[in-house]
Amino acid sequence: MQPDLIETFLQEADDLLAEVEETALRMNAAQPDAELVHRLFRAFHTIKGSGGMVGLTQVASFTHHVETLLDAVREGDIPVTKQLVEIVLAAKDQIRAMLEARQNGQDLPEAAGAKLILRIQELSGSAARILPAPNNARMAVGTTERGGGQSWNISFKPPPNLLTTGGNPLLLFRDLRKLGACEITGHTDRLPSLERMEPQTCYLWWTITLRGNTDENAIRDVFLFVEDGSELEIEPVEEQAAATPETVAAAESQTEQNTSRKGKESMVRVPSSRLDRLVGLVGELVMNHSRLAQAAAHVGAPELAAPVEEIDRLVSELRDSVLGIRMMPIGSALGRFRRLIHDLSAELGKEVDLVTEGEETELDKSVLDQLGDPLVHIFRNSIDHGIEPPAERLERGKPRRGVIRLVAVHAGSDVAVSIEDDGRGLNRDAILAKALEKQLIAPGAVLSDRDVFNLILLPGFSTARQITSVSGRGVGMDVVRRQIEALRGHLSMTGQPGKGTKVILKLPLTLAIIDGLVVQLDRDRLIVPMTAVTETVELLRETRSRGNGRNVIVVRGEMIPYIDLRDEFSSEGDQPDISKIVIVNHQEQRVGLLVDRVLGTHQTVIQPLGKFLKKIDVASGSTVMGDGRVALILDVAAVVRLAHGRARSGSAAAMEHSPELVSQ
Amino acid sequence: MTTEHTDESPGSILTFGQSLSISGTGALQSFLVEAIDGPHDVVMDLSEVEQCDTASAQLIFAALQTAAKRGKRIRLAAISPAVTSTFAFLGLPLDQMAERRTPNPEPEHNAA
Repeated sequence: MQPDLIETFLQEADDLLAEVEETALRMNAAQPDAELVHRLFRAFHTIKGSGGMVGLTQVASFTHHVETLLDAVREGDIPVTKQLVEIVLAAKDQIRAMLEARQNGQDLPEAAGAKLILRIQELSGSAARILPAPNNARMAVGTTERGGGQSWNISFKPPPNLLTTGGNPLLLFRDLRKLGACEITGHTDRLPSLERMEPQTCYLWWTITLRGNTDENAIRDVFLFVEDGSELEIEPVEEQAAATPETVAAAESQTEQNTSRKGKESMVRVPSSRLDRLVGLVGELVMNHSRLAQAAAHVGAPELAAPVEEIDRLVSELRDSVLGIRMMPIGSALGRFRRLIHDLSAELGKEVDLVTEGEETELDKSVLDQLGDPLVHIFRNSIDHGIEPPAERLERGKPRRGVIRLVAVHAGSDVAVSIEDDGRGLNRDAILAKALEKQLIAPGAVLSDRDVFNLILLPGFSTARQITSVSGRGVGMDVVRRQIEALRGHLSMTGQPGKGTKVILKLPLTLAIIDGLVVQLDRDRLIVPMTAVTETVELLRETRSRGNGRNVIVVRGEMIPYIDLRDEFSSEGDQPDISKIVIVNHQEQRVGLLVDRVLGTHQTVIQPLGKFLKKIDVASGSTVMGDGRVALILDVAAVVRLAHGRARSGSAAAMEHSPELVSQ
Repeated sequence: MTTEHTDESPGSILTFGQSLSISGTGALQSFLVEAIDGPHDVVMDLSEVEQCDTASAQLIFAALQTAAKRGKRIRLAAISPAVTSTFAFLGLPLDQMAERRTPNPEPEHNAA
């Protein structure tokens, strides 16, 4: 089998398994919902079918058992229970383990699989089911309902390995009967004598006359997973059907089906590295275009103006479209969190539901990928520290099950994601006591609620009374904050004691484009991300010398420490008489960056630094300016860290650990 | 699956287990081959079968077909709904292939 086919299957399976997990966990939280069971069945059915197709027979045959179980659930023979959900989740894990073993060239985890099959059979054993006989009531009803309409002659010659690759004619024909009344004739002419036959080879082939309001595509869909290697012929039988009320109703429902089929766009799977390359190229195009525009303006030829303008329009459109391809709904990343919450709450003896809003809110894939770890941490905190055990909740007059609510909304060029729980909330006294113990604040310091909550975001802070496997190991919210800031985002916390805690993340839509303030330092240009900039102020040489070497200025009565970038970057040349301080927000505090001049704003596509420049951590990327010169994009947090490291005793040192300096 | 011999006619009674699935088709094949090659007429007791898949149905059908070609008599006793259903779904004419007995076998065929 071609390796890229297997690759495609692995990717497809990955998505399907994520869907399985998400769906299964929804079943746990809500009332039994037939659609969810269908969705699960379809997902496993697809895995089985495609797995068999690419030759992963063990995966196909394992999945077959799960499919059989779900089929019984679908038919209402087995109820949706917690046990069922656990088995489905375990099966999903097993399939994933099998696929991973296949990918890494390891032995398949068969022992676990066999055990699980036993559990599956045990559960389905209680309703040892047989396929409904064709003369039973349900089948008969289905037949009369769909009796009218077009007739089709179908000839189906399956490949010899049909039965060993997970294909099941019984299920195929049952699905076919759902499309209309079927007359099935099995052909046995290929069947050898009993001694000579291979018992697992499929020698049978079939002709079927199907009568119903359906179309060729719907019929072909039934055979989708077995079509490979099969001879399948579908021919309409010409005849006029009388329009009885039943056929009209059936036709209407069919129209709906057709519409939904048309509504499904065909999809193309592309490795994200190709998209990254495309984004890189578009970035270069954008930059070269601005050089071209500048050159055209310089030449001043009127015949150049129109095409340059046209290219400008096309380039922006191209840029937006390319970046749009990388946008993914935030809901696509939430599946694994449902599982996490399910597992964690079970481990900690708590009952927690995840409620989400705005799952369709889109974020750049790279942002979404890097959002995983911080979210895991936030959820863990909520379940471990926030949500109380059921008994305690009932005592406090809260519902037994805790709720974590994740809401994502667009807010301008940002996406705001809030994660709120209805647990204990932040305990002001505990935080203060801990901060004193860790010498993060001075005894007797008076802090506002907001300042107290911000203490949690300081490195090494954790108030967990006991260390659990979940949290309380000293890796605290400061790490989460740093990760969010690395995404050019922002994290804040609020909460009320006894009512709950809310973490609010503000994230840029994309990491590929940046709005920046272009500043000049000696002959170099730097770009400060606009999201961090709050204002710029002037600094006269005389004012600076009055500071006695302490880099602090007073802006409207507020003391703001600043970092002299000339010092940090060892720039040559003299400081101009009038310099500028760009004031940025860093971890809820205002910090100044001293530069020579502010040149203006610039929207640009970020180019990653080459591998030789990777070690420069004060720059998060680079861009090429209109005149062809390269400008580095400053990573504000890294610059502050650098200054802090250099001058621990200086004014910059005060910034990291003194909440008293927090601006109101 | 068990084979029972009675000295008098009708011969071997083949009693099938509850679940007939592809994993058991190897064993089922030898069982059927042995029965057909044997000196006695064969009665298949399918009353216990609760699950029957395509591979098993195909095998049973091949046995019926092979037996018919060799002039061997196979009679079907007590076909369970599961078997009826599988054969009907697969469009295989179970009745025409074998001399069918009533689902309620006569006492002599129940002899141990």
